Amino acid sequence: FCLFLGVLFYSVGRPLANHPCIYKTAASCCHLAQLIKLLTCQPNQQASAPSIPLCCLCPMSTTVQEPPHVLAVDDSLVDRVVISRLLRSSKYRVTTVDSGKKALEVLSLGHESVQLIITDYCMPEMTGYDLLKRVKESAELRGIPVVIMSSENSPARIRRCLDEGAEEFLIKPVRPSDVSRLCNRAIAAMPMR
Amino acid sequence: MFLCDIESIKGHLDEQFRQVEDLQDEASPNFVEEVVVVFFKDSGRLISNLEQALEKYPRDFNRWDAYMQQLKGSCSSIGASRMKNECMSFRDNCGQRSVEGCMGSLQKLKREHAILRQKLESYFQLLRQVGPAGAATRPAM
Repeated sequence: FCLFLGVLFYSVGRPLANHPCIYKTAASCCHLAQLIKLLTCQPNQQASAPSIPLCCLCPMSTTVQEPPHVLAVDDSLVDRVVISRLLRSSKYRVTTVDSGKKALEVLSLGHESVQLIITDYCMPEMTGYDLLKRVKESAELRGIPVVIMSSENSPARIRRCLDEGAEEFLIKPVRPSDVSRLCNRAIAAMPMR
Repeated sequence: MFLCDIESIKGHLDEQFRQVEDLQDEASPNFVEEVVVVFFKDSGRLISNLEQALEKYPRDFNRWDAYMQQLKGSCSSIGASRMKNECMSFRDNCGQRSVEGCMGSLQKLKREHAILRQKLESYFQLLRQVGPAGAATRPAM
């Protein structure tokens, strides 16, 4: 069975071979039908290929039904309330903390459960950039995508964050559509852990 | 009809408030009011901290600016555009190292804060009077 999948995979899956979720779901029987359909699409049909709901297939979740868990970091209470609602309405599970230090504490308790970190840049004591560096320097944490938010539209700041490994940089005030689009993309782009 | 489209509140709230309103649904039917309550508590606290800093740290424009940056962020997130403009004006005055300018901006900011609070309180009071059935669709004002 796995050999069959392997053959199928390599023969038709080349354009999609970099999609991490497909690698991970190769052994998932319950999504086999969808997977085969996706893999057997011709390149010019891929635009209309069935989209696999990532929250169902990504085994980053502990069960197939569990939505991805996002850790939101912001020292502003208003922003935590808004971002939390915004993520929940996009069906993510959310934990909010008010500092980089608390974010690292949460991550040390259970980093396997966090699929994405979304953090404000300007925070006292530890900036979002500092947090990003700590995450990317850690062997355990570096696979978690980090999105930075900032009210300052500074190209130098944006470049610095992207160079350090941030997945994306959002300008505040964030729009619901920005956040859900970026979270979907950041989670899909996660390397295997 | 979004709140930021209503004549009496136009100019006080911008498109960002509409984004916040869009987050309200059956799962979170009081979300807008909850955010507004949080905003006024938080901004009240920030203004109070700033006033203390103005007294305790004279001419410490960097410190004053840092407080105002926080407040500006909250105003921006909720779409409180007139308040946000006064925050920006205060920060400009910090940049120009003008104590008088800063004091003037702060007074205007406090006035806008009070006006917005009053308008939003009236709005939510009206929603409550209209009742759950009426609150499910925003009233045409």
